[in-house]
Amino acid sequence: MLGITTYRVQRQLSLCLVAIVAFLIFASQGSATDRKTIGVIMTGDIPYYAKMHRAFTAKLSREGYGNVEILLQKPYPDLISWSNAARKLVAVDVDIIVTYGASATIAAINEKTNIPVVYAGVHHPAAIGITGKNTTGSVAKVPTSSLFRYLKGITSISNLGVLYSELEKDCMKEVEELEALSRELGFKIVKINIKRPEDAKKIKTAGRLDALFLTSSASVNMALDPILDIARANRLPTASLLKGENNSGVIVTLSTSPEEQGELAAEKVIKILRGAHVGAISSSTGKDIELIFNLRENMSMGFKIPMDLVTEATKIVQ
Amino acid sequence: MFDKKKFIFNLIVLAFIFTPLRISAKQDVLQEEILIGLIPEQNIFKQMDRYRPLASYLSEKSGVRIRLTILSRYGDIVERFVSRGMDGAFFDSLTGVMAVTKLGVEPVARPVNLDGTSTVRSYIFVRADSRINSVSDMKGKRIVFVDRATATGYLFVIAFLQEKGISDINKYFGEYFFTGSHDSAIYSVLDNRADIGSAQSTIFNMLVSKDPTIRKELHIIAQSEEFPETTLCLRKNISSDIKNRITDILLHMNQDPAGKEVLKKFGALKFIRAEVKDFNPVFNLAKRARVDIRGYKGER
Amino acid sequence: MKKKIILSLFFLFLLFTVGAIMTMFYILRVTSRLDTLITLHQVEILRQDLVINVQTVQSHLYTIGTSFGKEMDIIVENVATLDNAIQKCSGCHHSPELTTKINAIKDLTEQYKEALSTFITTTAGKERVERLQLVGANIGNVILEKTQEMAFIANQKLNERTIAAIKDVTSSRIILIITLLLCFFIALTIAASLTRGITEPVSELLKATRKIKAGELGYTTSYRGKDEFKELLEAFNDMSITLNENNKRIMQHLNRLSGLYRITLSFHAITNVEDIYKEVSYGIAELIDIEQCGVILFDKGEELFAHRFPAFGLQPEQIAHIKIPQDNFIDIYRSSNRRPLILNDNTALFPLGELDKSLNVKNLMLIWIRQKGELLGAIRVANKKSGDFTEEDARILGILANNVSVAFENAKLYENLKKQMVELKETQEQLVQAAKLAAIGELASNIAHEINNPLTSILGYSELVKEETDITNIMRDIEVIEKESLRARDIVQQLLEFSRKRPLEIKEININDILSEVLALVSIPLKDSNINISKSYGDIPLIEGDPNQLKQVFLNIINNAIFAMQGGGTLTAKTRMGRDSVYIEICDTGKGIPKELLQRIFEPFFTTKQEKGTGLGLSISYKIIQSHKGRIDVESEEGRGSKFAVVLPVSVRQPF
Repeated sequence: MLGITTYRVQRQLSLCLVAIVAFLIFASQGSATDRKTIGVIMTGDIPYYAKMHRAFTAKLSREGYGNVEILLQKPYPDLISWSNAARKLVAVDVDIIVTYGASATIAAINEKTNIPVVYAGVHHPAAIGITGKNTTGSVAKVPTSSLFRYLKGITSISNLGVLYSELEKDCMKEVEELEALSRELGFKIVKINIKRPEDAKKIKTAGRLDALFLTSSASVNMALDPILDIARANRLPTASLLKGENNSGVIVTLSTSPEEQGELAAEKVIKILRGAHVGAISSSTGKDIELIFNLRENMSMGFKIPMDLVTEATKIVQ
Repeated sequence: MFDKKKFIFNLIVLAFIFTPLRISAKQDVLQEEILIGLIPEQNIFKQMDRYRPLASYLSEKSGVRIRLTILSRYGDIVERFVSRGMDGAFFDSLTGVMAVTKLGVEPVARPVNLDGTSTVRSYIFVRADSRINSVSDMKGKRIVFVDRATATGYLFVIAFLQEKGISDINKYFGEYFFTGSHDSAIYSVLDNRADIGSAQSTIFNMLVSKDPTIRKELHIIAQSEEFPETTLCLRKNISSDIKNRITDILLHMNQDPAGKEVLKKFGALKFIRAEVKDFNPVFNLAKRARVDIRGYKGER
Repeated sequence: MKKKIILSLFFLFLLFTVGAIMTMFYILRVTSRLDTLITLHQVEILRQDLVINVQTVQSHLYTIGTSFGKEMDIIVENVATLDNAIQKCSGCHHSPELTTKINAIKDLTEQYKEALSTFITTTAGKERVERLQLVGANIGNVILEKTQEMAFIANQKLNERTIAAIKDVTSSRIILIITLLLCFFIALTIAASLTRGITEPVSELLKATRKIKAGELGYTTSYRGKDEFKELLEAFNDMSITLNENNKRIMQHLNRLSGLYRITLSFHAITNVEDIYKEVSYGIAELIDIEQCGVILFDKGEELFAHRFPAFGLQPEQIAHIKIPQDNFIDIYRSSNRRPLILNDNTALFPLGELDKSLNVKNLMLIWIRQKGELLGAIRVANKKSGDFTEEDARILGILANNVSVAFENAKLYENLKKQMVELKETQEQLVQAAKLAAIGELASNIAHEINNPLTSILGYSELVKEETDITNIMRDIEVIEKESLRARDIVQQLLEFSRKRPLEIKEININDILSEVLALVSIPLKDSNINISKSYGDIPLIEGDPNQLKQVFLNIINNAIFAMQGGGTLTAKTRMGRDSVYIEICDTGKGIPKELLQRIFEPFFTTKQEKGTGLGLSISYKIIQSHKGRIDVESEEGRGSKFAVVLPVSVRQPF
């Protein structure tokens, strides 16, 4: 596990170097040809952002901006990596910075540059200070309480394991919401801080748990495989606020569509490219809420099949 | 050593010896039979379980064998009432009105809920964090209905919108869809899959009682007048003797210990007399919604 | 034996109890196994129900909403049945593993119901409806899978348990058979031993009984057992021995009694006292094993009691001394209180003093002989070989003594009788002679007449002779004289013959001749009395008898007849043969005998002839005929006549 992660980090670092070298080469030429450059900060290597990015680029292409240069930064989910990624894009002086996820957005905003920042996949932008004239984006608002409600339908919960990363403000908000729910409904929350994939082991020592709630944290989602391994081994149902791969193994997912988020970001980028001022573009909220039920996983783990979930689910993984 | 086949054969023989006696004994007592339809309010099996004790109590007391049948879809109830040869049904408010209008069924009795009510309302609700406070906020939003054949899950919203000057929902809303069930409509709004929803108050309250957070998450922006709760209506040409017997038993069963027990299982305090005029709010609602009940099929 | 039987029965009871318990145990075990099997089979049925129900519902699920779709009610009913099936399943007891599975299925069924319900009632969204259908189907499949899995487990268990049950049944059967056989053989052995224990002594007893029955008294069994039978057989042996002893005693007694009887019996025939002495002493010696025995009797002449001879075990010279003065003897008698005197050891007290010492007496017993309260003497027995004299000896000899007393009395009486008989015989003879003479007297005139006739002839012819010269005439006259003389001689001889006193002389006689002779004797009186004679002699055999005596009888009867027919009449003499007797009938036509006298005619000295008769004639005739074993029958009718019939047997073997 550690080996793979190390390998992954190394691969990411090398990709970053390649990107920087390429950027330096094209930058000198770009200004000459007046080609627009978009810097994208996509935290880690998680399907949700990947899908978002694919939809983003596809939308640009469809709208005739296929030649726009995209500089993709994939920082590891820690403050320095995010900061470095943002700094690099500022240094290269890209035309627009597109950020996926709250932490990347905050890192970009913290650079205090005039480059417009278009974010996507941020759950609670206002609550975590993502504001400003230079900022717009699409909100991926999902009611945490609903996801918890469906999770409850699978198994009765008195101890809920909440996987989060204290570095990511957006997910901290979700933790807060869950804490509020726990107080209201009288169950216990066991917070498990996941900074690295190997932190997934903490689940095993967290005491008695009835289910795992995966927040929208990028760190958590990067540790998805080890988390799910442990969940399966301990027969723990999982709920996630971030849509992963269909066959990821998370049993219930309530998530905004990453594609919609990507497209919404693309729409805003296009508007900027067309000359609109970023301050005039209002942020939008994703309407395409996906409720994904992994029936296959649920049945193989022998959990109850909540008919509400089956009925309400927008997608069933068979 | 142990002959399995023989043993099973013996069991079958024994079963045959004893079964005819029981059947014949039952047949002797019950000569008349009536068929009562049930509208699927929730889980049909649970509903059957809920109504079975009531049916057997009625059978025993009236000497009329009462059979129950479940109707799968809201809309076709009137049609099926005729095609299945039903003698009566527990209708909800709109299907009741439709049956009264189209078939001339006669309301007989309806249960009083444990909270003392015997009526329902329709709620129009949004997520509390949706920032929708008025009809104008709804423009372009996603609205969810239950079924066209429900007063509480559709007709009231239409009437409400009509009164607010909105006659074409296709144009006014970004999206609208039917969930087929009241709870599904509520969940849709809760999950943020829809912005506005409508549902029957009893279902809404039931979900709230199960999960109090729902009440906080949702904001009811409008509610209807009271409509009669599930009402037992019998076809008009049923023998008055049977009708009187059944009505009498239902209205007085709360005074009988056995009846009380059945009521407890059914989840009601008592039955009260129902009349056609009880449906007046629904007729009014139809008028407000500009719906002609006579031609209304409740189809989507 | 009792203990043995009880122990055996207890053991058998124990054995059967153990057998029964084992049987019960195995039956219970097998039946519980079978119960389990049945339950498993029932479970199998339930499971099959479940599978069928799920399959039915599944098929409904796929056809719902289509033209093949079943009515909702049927689906609801099916689901209810399914629900019942699973409720039944969970109602049973199962292993935790199975319970978990069943609970899982139960949960699944609930979900299945929910899915079905949702599917059925869901009206919005085709995709959603399809999805719900699919979910329902999936759950249904899982139920089927789980059920199959359970069925697999159940089947496995069923197989295991069936094999175990069969094994159990087989082993139970073997154990039961072994138990039964064991019980049977042990019971058989016990029964055999008990039977032997009973039959052996019983057959022993039977054998002994038969031996005893066959006369083998004193037979003892040789049973060696140590039970109640031993006691029984010992008792039996004792009984046998006692019986034998008693029998011996009885036999001894009987011997003595029969000896006693024989002796006493002989006494009655003994008329001689010496014979009595002998019989008594030798008889007693047979009864009691003694060396000396004899009788002491009072001698009137010498006035003392003397030992008599013959005596057993004593010589005349030995007993010659035994003479005890009367007074001494009576003293001993009195001192013994008139009871038999037994002296077994105290020789000093021997009543006969030193004399007995010379006789080498060791023990002695005196049995008193009394007659009419008077002491006659005593039986003296001495030196019993087999021990002492007993009371029983005394009793037996006492009886004998009484008999001896009677025997002496008899002997004395017999002596007297003999003397009297002699006297009587003499008297009788005198009487007969007297009667004879009387009869002769009666005949005298007749005889005189008889003789007179020849004498007259003789005298006449004598005269003629004197006158005759012719020798031829003389000779003829002399011949007549001779003839007449012979005739006279014959008459006289006959008379002499009759009157002669002679002893009975039995010889073969012809009655007809005798009767003729008698009639010849009375021919003159008959003629004188003008009596006709009618003779009719039958063909009769010779008989045995005394001719003279019979002549006397006939003469008596004819004389009486003549007396009865004084005015004349007919005398009929007739002989004939009866069956084995000869009948001589003499009838007269006289005055007859009055009825009242008829019975007295044979009394001595009874006569109707007054001075003419002796009154002895018929009486003696009667005696004579009696002595010939014959009889005289008399029939008489006054005025018509009498008939005397003398009946004589042909043979008189032993005339008196």
